[in-house]
Amino acid sequence: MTTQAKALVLDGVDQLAAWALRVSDAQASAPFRLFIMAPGCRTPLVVTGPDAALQLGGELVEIDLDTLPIAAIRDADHPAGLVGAVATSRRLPAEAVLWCRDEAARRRLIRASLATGHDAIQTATGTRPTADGTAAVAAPLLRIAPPGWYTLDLAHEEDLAQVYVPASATGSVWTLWGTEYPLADHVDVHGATQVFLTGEGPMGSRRTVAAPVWDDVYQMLRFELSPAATDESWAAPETEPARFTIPLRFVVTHRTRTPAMWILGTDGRDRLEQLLGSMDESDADQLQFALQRDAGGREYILLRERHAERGRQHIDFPALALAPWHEYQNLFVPVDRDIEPLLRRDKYREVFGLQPRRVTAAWEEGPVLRVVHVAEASFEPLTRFVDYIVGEGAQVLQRLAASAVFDFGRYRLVRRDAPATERPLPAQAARPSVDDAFPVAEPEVVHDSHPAVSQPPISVPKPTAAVQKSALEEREIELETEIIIEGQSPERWRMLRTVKSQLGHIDEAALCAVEAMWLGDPPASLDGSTGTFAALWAQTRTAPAPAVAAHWLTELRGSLATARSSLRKKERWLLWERLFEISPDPVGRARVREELLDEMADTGLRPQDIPGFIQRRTYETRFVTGDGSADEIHAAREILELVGDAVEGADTACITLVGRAILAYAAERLGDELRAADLRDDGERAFSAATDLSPTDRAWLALYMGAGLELYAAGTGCEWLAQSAELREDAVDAPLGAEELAKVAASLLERGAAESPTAFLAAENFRALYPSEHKYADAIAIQGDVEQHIRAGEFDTALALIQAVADDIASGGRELELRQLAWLLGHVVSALTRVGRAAEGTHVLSRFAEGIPEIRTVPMRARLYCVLARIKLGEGFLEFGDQQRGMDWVCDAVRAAWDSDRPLVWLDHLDMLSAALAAIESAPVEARAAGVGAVIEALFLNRPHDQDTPDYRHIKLRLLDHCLEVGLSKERLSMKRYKRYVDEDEYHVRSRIVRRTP
Amino acid sequence: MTERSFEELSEDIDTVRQRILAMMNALKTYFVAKDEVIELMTLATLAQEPMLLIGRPGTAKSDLVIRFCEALGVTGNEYFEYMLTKFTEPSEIVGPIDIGRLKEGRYVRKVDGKLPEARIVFLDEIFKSNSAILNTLLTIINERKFYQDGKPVPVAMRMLFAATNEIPEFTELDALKDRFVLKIESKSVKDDHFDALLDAGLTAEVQRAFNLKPWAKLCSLDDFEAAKRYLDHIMYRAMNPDEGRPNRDLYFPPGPYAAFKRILQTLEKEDGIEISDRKVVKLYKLLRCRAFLFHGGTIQRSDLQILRYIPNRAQDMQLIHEKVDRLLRIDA
Repeated sequence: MTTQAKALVLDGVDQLAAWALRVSDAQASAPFRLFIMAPGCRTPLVVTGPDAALQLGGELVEIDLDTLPIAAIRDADHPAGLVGAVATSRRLPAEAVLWCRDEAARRRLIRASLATGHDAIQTATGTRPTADGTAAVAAPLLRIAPPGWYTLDLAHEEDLAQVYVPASATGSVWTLWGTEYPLADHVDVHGATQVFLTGEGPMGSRRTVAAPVWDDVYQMLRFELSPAATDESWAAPETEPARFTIPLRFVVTHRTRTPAMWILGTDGRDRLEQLLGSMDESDADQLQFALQRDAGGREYILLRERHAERGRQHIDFPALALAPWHEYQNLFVPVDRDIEPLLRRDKYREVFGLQPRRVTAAWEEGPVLRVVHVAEASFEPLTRFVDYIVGEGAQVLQRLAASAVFDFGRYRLVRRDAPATERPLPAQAARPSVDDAFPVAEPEVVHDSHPAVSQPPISVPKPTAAVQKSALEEREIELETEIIIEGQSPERWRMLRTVKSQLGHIDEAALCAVEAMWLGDPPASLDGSTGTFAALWAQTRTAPAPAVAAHWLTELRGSLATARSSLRKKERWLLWERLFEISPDPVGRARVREELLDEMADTGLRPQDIPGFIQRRTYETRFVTGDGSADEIHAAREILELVGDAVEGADTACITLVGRAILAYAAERLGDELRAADLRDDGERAFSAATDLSPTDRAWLALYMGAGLELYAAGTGCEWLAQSAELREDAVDAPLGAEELAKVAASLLERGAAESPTAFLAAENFRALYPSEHKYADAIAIQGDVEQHIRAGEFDTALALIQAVADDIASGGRELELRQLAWLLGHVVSALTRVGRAAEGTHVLSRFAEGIPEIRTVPMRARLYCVLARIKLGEGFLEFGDQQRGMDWVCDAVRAAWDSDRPLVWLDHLDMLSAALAAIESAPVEARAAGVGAVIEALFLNRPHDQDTPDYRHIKLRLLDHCLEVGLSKERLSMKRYKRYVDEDEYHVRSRIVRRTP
Repeated sequence: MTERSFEELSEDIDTVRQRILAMMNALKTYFVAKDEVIELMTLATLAQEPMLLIGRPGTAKSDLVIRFCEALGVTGNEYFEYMLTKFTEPSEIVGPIDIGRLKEGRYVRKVDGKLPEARIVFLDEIFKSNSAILNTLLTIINERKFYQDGKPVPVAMRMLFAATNEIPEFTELDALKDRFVLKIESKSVKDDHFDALLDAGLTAEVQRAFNLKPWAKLCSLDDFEAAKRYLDHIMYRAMNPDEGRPNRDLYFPPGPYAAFKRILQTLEKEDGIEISDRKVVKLYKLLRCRAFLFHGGTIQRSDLQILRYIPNRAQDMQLIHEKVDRLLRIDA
């Protein structure tokens, strides 16, 4: 049975897509192939029957082959004939085979293809039938992959060749360029044959040939030189060519390198000495030094930096500065020179004769290039050649000072109510003359109970003697003090301005002028002052030309706005006033006025609004009497004497010696510099001579010596502090002492920055009441409620709550353990002051007091808390102004604590004293002495069963320090005066701005 | 200029051609290495086809145009020059609206001293213009007219030169780019002709100082128009009246024609050069003009060198320039 293959062409792709075809055939059992070609499709659909069906859409469509408009039905073995090549647009193929018309045509096409850069050309020979088809002739073939368009078009348009492009993926079927054969993949190609399809339409023909044997085109090409070309060989000469001598030269470069070596001439030594005088030793350590002599005997100093990458800023005197060249570390050239031409790196070794362990330097001296070699071993650290000494002049002065004797016979040392301490005065010696300064007269040794022991000496700076002030300086102090204590006036400011100008304090003089202007003086010139105000003020003094007035005013306004933060309030107002005089602006004036008044209402006068010299002088007037501070000074001195007596009467050398150092600082702050100096001398001698002081004790002594000096005269105590730190390392007798020392050192030095030194100390010392949730739950709950009401502004409720708690405790209706009560009382006092009910405070505290038992009735374990509760009550009374009652409560609690047959253990005892001191602070300074006395008494109890360990000694010392601070709180002494000055100044500022008139 | 007949034009067309060539050659002597540019400018003016000069600042683009105009004696309102920016408004090019007439309800522009009155126009930085300018320019370039009070009015423009530092890639500018059939780079010459550049520059300064223009007045724009008119006549007469199709072979022999077609297709297929149908037609016209200008008649293979200047992208210019030369050498 013949297999029939039928091709049918359907119209409409939609039809094809929508319908599935089912082919029915009369000979249904016969296999068949059905090619379905739709217009616009490139590839036919092939159906193989009988039971295959096309599922293109959702339906099956029956088609009766017999009735279909079939274009042609041909032999099934040759389906290619049914659907032939289809014309299409010409595209650039990836490959093309050209059946060339003749050899000339092929050559032309090869030339064209090569000329257009497509040289992947192969050649072969095929056969083609003659025109009549009776014979076959050889046909030159070309295969180009990829071909160029130009070649293909040339071949096609000029009929040089038939151009075939691949029609099937197999590469065995080819079709004419510009046609496609959809059934190419179904063409049977047997063996090594190629099929070339020609013609369009179903009637197109094809040519089947044996697969050509392709050769590369270059095998048929021969390239030759033009006839005029010559071909010759050259040979090398017999003699070696002469070498080129290229002298290296130095050229100036604008990019200087970082110097690492310097060469100094004959004056180098002096310059180096000057340099060393200003260099730190650590910097000098970085330099190496070599002294070298050239062949002519001239000496040179070479300095080399050990770490070149750091650069050196110190050597700014004339010297030949050199830097390493081209990463060689032993070849140096001037920093502003380059060597040209640039050579390969290894060439320099040869040219400059570089050797290991040798440094080479090269530079120009006039027309001569100098290359110098120096042995590496010549360089040594510079500091090896340096001796640091204290200046010869200082040594002489020190000897003089040590041997000098000061005759104070006409002066009498006065102490109020203080027992005179018998201290031997140094024996008066004849005043030595300058000639007697050498040799040094040994100072008289003061014998004391501590035998002399050789100790490593430390250089202790002597207390600086008061520098004699000039009359002008004295007058300056006098005027400033007058202004602070007696008040401001234009006359005083004017006088002060004159004095300061004469002293050369121009900027401060300008400030005085401003203050005087503020109080009514006419506008003054501030020439010479460098401040921002002076510059702007000067601008306002010169009237601008009318033509530029507007611009000038605008600029000035801008400058004022920009400089706002750097001007004081008075200065700003003065400048704006002046501006408004020149250019009246009522609205602007009102704006500035409101702005300043708002600032005053918000922050008042800031510290930068007060002249700095006024602030300093305020502190220094703390000893000036006449305004009520005399009582404070007296009280402070009283406390000083109390502590001094305790210190001198201590039975422990450590307490005495270290105590004196603490006293020295206090004495200085009270203006008693002479006493301070004496105390420090004692401390110094004790430090040097004492043998029964343990290293820890000596460390404490050094600590307080140094801290006092640092706090009072910064920078003069560092030696002592360093010594203390060293001794701390040796503190093996009391392990805690070493750690404590470090903490105390830090806390002492921070004292100056603390707003309230006593509070600072109290926080350090008082360790008893550390609330923890489970131990203080009730107290915390009460305090929490009170706090809540306060935050909500419900002050009455808060007060009522506190009262209720007090009543409960007093009536026994609420039991609150003493620990919690003591803690709560502290917060109660604070709460009462915050709600502004200090008046009711005393009453509330009295109710609390009814609920606190007597100390002796309280079990031992709760005794501390009972004491603390009483102390807290006392503090409260003091806070609310009941001084007598408050101090009584505190002192009684302190005495009752130790005056019993079961006193507190030492630590508790000390904690109690610390709390007492904190409470005493609530009293005015002049009323504190009694309380401090009670504390000191308790501190120096002779309790036989107590341990006198270093820890306890040191805590005592800290408490002594605390006692002194209680009397010396600086804010009590000078802040009041300062605050008064500020208040007065604020009044002046407001009044002028509000009233618009001074 | 009154329209002359073919016969009248034929009488002195060769003289006209010689004057144009003389002007072109004279102008070449005052610029360094700008022969190619000047030739193209001459050709473009003859064909009245817009031309684009591409180059970095300081490569004599403006100077070339100005001297070219001076050479043709084009001055005053006959020459309009403007540098475009993205803020340039149409009124700056074609003139501001006449407010007086606007009050009468008429939308008329005052064109005095503006582009519509100029015969030669030079627009610098043309691709920096905004879409308003582009729309106006395209109408002027395509149709040689602009709209006054809603009615199209012919512009006097005969030649448009444009300059740019670079050709942007924006597709919105494709239409404008395509209007410029000829694009040429004006390159810096200091690397290869340093001495000559200095000499020429100094000469130019001196000439400017003394208002010397030795290249001027050798021919006029009217000569160019006469030549163009003559060519129009030629092409008209070459049309086969019977078949209504031009006898192309007369002035475009098959060989150069095939080469022309082949090269265009090669550039399109292999290098992706965009060649619009409009450009093909314009190129044909340019080839005819070039053939007339340089050797008086039939297009030769050498005339096909104007295909060097058809790329639309600056990066293709060098490549296409070399490729066209190479293709022309095949079978040369």
